[in-house]
Amino acid sequence: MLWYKTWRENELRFLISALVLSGICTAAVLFERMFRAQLHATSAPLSSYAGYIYLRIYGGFARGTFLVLALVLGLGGLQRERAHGSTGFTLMLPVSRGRLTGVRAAVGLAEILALSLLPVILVPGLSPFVGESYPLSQSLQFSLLWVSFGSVVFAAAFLSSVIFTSEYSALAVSLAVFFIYPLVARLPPLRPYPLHIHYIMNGTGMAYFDPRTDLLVGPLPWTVLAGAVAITAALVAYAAVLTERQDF
Amino acid sequence: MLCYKMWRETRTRLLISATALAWVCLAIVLTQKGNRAHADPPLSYAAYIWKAVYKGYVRDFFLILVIVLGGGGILQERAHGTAGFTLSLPVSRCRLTFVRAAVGLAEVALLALMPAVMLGALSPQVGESYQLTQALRFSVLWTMGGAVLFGTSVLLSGICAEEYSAWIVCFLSMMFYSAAVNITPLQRIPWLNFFKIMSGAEMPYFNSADHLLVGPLPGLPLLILPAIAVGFVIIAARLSQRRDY
Repeated sequence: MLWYKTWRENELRFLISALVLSGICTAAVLFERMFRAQLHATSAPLSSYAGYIYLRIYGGFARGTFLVLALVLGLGGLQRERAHGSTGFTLMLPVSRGRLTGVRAAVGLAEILALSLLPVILVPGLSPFVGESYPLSQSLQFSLLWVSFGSVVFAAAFLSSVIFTSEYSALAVSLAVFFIYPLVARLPPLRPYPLHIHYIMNGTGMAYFDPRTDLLVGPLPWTVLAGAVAITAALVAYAAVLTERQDF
Repeated sequence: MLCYKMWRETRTRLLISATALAWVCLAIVLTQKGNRAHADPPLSYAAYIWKAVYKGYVRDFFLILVIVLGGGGILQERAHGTAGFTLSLPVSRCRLTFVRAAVGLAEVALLALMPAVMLGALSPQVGESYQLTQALRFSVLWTMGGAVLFGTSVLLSGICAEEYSAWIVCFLSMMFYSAAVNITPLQRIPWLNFFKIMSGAEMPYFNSADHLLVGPLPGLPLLILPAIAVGFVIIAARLSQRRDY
């Protein structure tokens, strides 16, 4: 029931997010001729459908939107319930605060996974309708990158929603970190290290991405992905520890 | 007192937003040397500031923060259980909405001044200079463009009860509007694109060789944009009048 309660609290945000991401992927595929013509007019011609899909979805607009939606899905929780006056009801449930936090995180991460799988279903699934094809293996690999780093963004927002009592403060801080972090990762001392989540997610400058074909080649950076999972787990665990100590 | 109440409710958001915007400007100015050298061809300082701040990353960040500033209102207070207290004040619902919008628009203007302040203070520290008049003119353009998005956020906060849903819908509206004016035949009319009005791209008051604003700022768009914002606020006020809280 706790899972169902958490799902119902997040349901609207998730459905809007899924609708939007599906819409972007569907439009990108179904209107590819129009968008490619428009891109040809403003930049170098795209020699392949894969290059177009990369530019529109995995390297561009859809990826950025996915990350912002992941951020918003991480917000909420007991601090928000306190503002609404419903914390008492939730804390009265016969479950520990740690479990409440854990279930909320698990439901949120499942939603991130579901969102990251939408391009896997839509891009290879709809491409034949426009006379093209996109390798399912590519979509799956990009999804793995998306879910790994989308989870980090989710967890960071999750933690900020535990720390800040006001919903808008939590949102503002999460957005601030989201925008400042890539700039910090590009500072000269940090540039040699794989810290820029946008570049890791879209493969820019990475050994596993071929910019000539706009396809993932070779093995994914499993160490970096494991690090992302570890960071996600650490942020969620810290959020749970803070929740245990907070006085509602 | 009503202004003070609205200020107290939004000041933390403004402080966080202003600090974040300041940090981003700081990072951009401090890394200017390396970033400019990596560009092909290498950029002048004015060109770099325009691309990084007034056309690109910082502008988009500013707009996203403006949406956060526009959130909140009586509908969200209902969820908090404080709508009754607010509605029992001896002021009309319209006045509540207008005062909240006025305070918010002042905050948008303050936020739009942050790049001017930071560039003015930091550029000499890296051995460069950026004209204060340029920065202030861009601040005016940003305030007008930000006002439209702020008005949209106020309106959507009056429709969507959940804070984050209102924010998502507003953010997505901004993205779809951007797609509409950049991809569809509407792209042939740059004046419909308030992002371009804010940055000066493809506008007669912007010199793309020097990357500087030239001549007078456009009077008509600077009247129309705030008028649109006011229109959205009026609709939000009317909606709050009719709603049963």
